[in-house]
Amino acid sequence: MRRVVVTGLGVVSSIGIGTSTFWTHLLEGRHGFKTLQSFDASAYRVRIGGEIHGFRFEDHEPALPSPLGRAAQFAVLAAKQALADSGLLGDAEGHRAGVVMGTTSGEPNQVERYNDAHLADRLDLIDDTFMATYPCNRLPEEVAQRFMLTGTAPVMIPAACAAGNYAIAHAADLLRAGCVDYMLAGGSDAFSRITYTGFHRLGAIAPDLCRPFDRNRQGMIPGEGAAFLLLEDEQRARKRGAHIYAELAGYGLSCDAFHMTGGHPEAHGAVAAMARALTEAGLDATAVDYISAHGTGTPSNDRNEIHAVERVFGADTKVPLSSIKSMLGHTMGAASAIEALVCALAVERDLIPPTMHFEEPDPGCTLDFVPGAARQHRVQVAMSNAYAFGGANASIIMKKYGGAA
Amino acid sequence: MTSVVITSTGLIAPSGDTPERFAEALAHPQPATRPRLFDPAQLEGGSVHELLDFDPSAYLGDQNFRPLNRPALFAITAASQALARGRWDAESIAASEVGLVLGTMFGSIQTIAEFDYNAQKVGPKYAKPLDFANTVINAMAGQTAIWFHLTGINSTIASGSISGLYALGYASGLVESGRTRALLAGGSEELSLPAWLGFARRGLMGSQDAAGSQLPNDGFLLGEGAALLMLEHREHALARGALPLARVSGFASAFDPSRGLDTDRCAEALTRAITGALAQAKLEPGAIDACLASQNGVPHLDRGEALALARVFASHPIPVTALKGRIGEALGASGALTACAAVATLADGDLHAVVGTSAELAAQAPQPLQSIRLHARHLLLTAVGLDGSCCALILSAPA
Repeated sequence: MRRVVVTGLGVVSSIGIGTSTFWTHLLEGRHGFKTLQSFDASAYRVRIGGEIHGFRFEDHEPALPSPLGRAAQFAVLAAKQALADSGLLGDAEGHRAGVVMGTTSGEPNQVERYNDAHLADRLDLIDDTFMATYPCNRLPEEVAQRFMLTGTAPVMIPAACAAGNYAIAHAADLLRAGCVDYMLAGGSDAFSRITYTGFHRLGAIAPDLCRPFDRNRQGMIPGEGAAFLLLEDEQRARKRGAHIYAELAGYGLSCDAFHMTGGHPEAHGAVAAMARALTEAGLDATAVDYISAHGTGTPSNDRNEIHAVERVFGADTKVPLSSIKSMLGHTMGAASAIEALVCALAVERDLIPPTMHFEEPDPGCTLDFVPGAARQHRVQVAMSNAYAFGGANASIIMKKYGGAA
Repeated sequence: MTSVVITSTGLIAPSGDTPERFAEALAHPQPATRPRLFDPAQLEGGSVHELLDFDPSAYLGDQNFRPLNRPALFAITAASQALARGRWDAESIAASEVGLVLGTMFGSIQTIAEFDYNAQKVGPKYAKPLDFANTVINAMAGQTAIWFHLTGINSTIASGSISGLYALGYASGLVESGRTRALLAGGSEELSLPAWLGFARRGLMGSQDAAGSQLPNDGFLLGEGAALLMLEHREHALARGALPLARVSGFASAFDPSRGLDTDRCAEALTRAITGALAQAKLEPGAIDACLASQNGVPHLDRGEALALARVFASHPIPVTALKGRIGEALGASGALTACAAVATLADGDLHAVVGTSAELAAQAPQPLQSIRLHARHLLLTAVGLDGSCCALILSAPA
């Protein structure tokens, strides 16, 4: 079976645009939580988010003749970084490449504009840009068009908070099937009042900081961003002398089929996803050196995740797990793409990011959440878990690249 | 691809609420009307193929439908049929870890818009929490999984109007690779005011001829509905005594960066997808008996597709259908509805909504749609998206 490796990375986040800045700030424990700016939040009890303040696409790229939605702008920037990082920007073999990405909402700001017009009884203001920019398929199509990646249809897998892992999984399958030689795989989501209103109404947003796994955690904090990984056929990467961050060893998908917003209390689906990923990677749970947790900071989700990890790894496991949502908030469809990027770097550099704002675990929980500071730690194998609305679960495993088989 | 079979189908569409009624209706013009689901007021926009008077209790019994929106109810209705026809029960679904791959363009733009509209109108603290869960684009797939306890792979494909066909290709890959043994795959889409208005403003909506006997040539008419097909690994199907209705032989996709606006590049991309599917099926073009095409009335997309078909089948012109002349453009559901029609054709030899041969299509204006008889062993299904994506799927008679 063809091996799949990671040869390029790109990220747009509230703690840095570009892998180097992002990684430095992540290891420093910086967070991106600020008072909301993107919409009038005066009617909301909580007004904090992980927005990328001051973001202007034209600061990074020449403006395009046709308008891009915010999530598409993030995606194009992150994709370009990953292509450049891999040495494939401007590659003439784009007909053997493609894009798969994930999102939760696509471009919800466009629906907000539509509604602003509707509320004002001014639907005459809706022009041709609405249906040219809103459909979420436009995100991967914009990336594919911009960088001439034509080997597959650009695919959008909107598996909500697990979308990035789903995209990576499908990209890997296309590579293994021999349809393509390299794929951009990632995710993007832009901040929106629709998403914020929903979580706010559920009472799920923390008032100040995101504290995953902390006993006194009070919820998640919505964020935004994008990340792409350049996945490539291992032989091709080696032949052209590409830098290889990590190898994608396996993935596992499952569905709780239990509740739209809450996981199964016995974590059956999460356990199944982890088990399937380990099986495909040919590994035992004891081989995993680091877990990038879903870790949203909500009381019940974190409790379910702890239960799932204990079921797979044992209640007394010493494998460190951390949640970068403690710094970025929940970037929705970008989250597991950013977390996969972090795993690739963790594997390459033997460094794991912290869970910030963690002070006290749940009673009886002895898991190591890497509290407060990044850690030097040998990472031969990293697992990244993601759990979504609709009950979709996805786990991926990255391992240190050991050279030709 | 050698291991993927289709063992049952289910659908709900304006022209029929079973695969048989749907296939039969394809032989005749279907009415398109001014929308009734929403008030178009004085807004300009095309006629639609609307699922009128949809009552889910007629298909699902007396249940609590409150948590579900319209496209989710479509998907659950289609899934219910496919599962019943395949003789699945709760025990066999669990034992086989049946999963679901659902194609859609929007999920439910109506639900998303309503949630935000109400929150803005009355204040965010009065937003409806139950509706928020349905604003995510994968909500239908999640709701369907909950309804039938489908704990296998659960995925949503939102790649525009090719989503339904791509979902079938995506699911086929998962079954062929042995990652799963049984997957419901297809698509669901609803009519909505935002989509209807948005496409009209983008200049993609067409006008219907009075008789409804041929495809529009100035844009598409929106449709809606859902279709799901059970894809199984052949060995698994045979072990449980299921009779394959068809085989998935090949699938491939491609992208045209001109977004369909350059006929040659559109044709080039679709040609790559078709030849990729043929290669995977280990078939020559001469083995294909007909194409159930994507033709939807948008001139530049239809031209690109016609040119691709003319090139691939230059030495062996084949009949080409334009089902969307009967059912409209159902976006994420289109490809799956087309696949159900293809399964019916493989079974009974009736091919409906034929618009001409691949040679004729490239050379002339749309013709009145007609039905023909043919003994089909291999059918090509194509999907051409609104902004450059395309894919091709080959369904074959069961061995």
